[in-house]
Amino acid sequence: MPASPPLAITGIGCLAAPGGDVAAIRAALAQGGDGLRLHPGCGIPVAETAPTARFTGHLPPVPGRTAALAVAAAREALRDAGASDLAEIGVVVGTCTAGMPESEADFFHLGREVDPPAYRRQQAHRVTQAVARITRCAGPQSTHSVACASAAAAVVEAMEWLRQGIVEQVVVVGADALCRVTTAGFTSLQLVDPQGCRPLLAERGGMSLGEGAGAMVLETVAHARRRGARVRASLLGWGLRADGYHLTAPDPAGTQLDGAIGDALADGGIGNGQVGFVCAHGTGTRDNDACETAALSRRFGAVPTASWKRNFGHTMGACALIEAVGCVLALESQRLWASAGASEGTPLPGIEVVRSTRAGRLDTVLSTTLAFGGTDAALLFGRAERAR
Amino acid sequence: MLIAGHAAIVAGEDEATPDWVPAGAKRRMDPIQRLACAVVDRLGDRHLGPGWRAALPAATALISANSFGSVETTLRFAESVAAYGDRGGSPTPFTTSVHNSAAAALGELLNIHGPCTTLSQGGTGTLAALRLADLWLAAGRAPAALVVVGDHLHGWGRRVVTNLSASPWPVSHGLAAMWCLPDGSGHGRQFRLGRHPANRTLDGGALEADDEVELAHRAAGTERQRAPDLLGAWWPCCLAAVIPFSEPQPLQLRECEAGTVVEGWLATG
Repeated sequence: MPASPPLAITGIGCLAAPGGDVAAIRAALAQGGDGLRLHPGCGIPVAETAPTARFTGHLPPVPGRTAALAVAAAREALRDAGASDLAEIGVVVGTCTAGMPESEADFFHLGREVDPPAYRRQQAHRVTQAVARITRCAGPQSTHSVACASAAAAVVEAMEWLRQGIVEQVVVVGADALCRVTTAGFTSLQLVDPQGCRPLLAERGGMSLGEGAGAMVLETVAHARRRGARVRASLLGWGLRADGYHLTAPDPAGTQLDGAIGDALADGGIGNGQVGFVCAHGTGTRDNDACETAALSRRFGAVPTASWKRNFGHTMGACALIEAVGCVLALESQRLWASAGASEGTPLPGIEVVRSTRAGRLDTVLSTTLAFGGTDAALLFGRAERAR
Repeated sequence: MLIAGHAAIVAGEDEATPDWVPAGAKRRMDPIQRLACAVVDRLGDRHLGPGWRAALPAATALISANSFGSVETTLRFAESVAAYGDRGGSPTPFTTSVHNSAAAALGELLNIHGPCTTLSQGGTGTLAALRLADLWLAAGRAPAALVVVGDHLHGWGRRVVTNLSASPWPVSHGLAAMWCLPDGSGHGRQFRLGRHPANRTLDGGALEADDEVELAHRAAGTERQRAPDLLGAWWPCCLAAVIPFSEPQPLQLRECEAGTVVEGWLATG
């Protein structure tokens, strides 16, 4: 596969358990802040025994919690980018739960006599429509719902829109709100760690759920130059593959994940040795972390790797974009953010688990995502200079 | 790109799950997964030739698009939580409740490992899915793309969607599968994004008055057909079920929801 031109990241937005904007997210990464809390009585029954990473800040008055999270992140990213020609900006959203928090509340109250307006909001593309309507971005729209890889798939489509001339500027958003179906579902699968997730550690016992949203404004390098935009980082390549192994468990050998990583590197024209840091999906489940460790160690050896799932919780369909914001911040500040909680415990062998935040010389950062239903994704980020 | 094969199953037709789906998997599947397997089986038998499953390139891209996802198993899971509490939910329906369950089943059962996603783009899902297939093929990311578009609604789901959609047509369900190839790599109908001065238009119809006005305005001066009129029923992305695969005349395709219009067109074969 020939390498494709880099794209410019000119705006970022994020909100999750540590706070309601990028500054709060950056502070949480720098401090290794643990975003997991018990929230008794918050309406998510399992939260009383298993900590979750819930966003407790202010949200815009948008119907539907996921949509409100998405709009808040998109607004911050568009402001950050100084985007003005809104009529031409495309909107691509990744979400898994979408309007489920509202429609399930109706269901648990009314049973099968569910209220149609609430059910209507359950549809994932309603989140995209809300973002477009409220931000006034009037370009084309698309919505991906690929479980935990939703945001990664959204970024992939946005990249091809830019490369192939569908638009010159896109706001891409990943958003998901916590809901009872999600928490009860992962509890029923016995995948929730009652102590809070301990990703990439031998002692890990499952995941911790979270909610939030991440957003980026992406544009072609020519467009960013033309309008004199500040480039925060570059987006170099993508890989997205069907794992095809099992509905809920990744291939333990990580074969297709490795393939997705290889695709992203080839797309960006980057060699294995140029990747200085990996933001792993790192959910803290036995299967996920074993698969990722196998794939990463085989390709890169002891590459510095972190998971931020204890900082933010596993934010499902939003996680790839929240973590993308973390990757941009890592490249800007030339810092390898640690895995929260990794300083206590036994790191998995084969990779170098980053146990405390440190400075480094980062040229490219890789982010990986795996999803229910067997989707493996890899996104490759580079320093801003590559897209100037 | 080329649409080199097309098949559809609409409600009332044979939805039998093909033999290549193992019995255990069949039992656990959501109806949309079973229907996806059935329509891909029909596509394979009609257009891909004998032994098509073994001959599918592993790098085939897989794009599914639906609006409501796995309604039945989501509901079953929620009912199990309502009945047995948050620690007593049944894990089996939870695992198939994700929107991408149909693509997941196809990837696993057909041994497909190419780029894979599921779109949930409401009434513009058909053309959104074809747009993405076109982009991935043009980028050389896959030698072919399997596109599966539609919804499965029955019982409770159909009633809810009827109530919320105010559809002027009866609400039904159906799924279409399309086999897409890069230009120049086989026979089929050329698909292109955007507008064409064709004198015929096929669109997905619209439930909202403003969207219907927009569709009618854009089709002005052409012979307009609406997919739900042809089908006698409506469901999100029902346009996919009636895309004419073999006729030779150029045809403008269009979908619209909430003021967002997506356009593509079919050239000659």
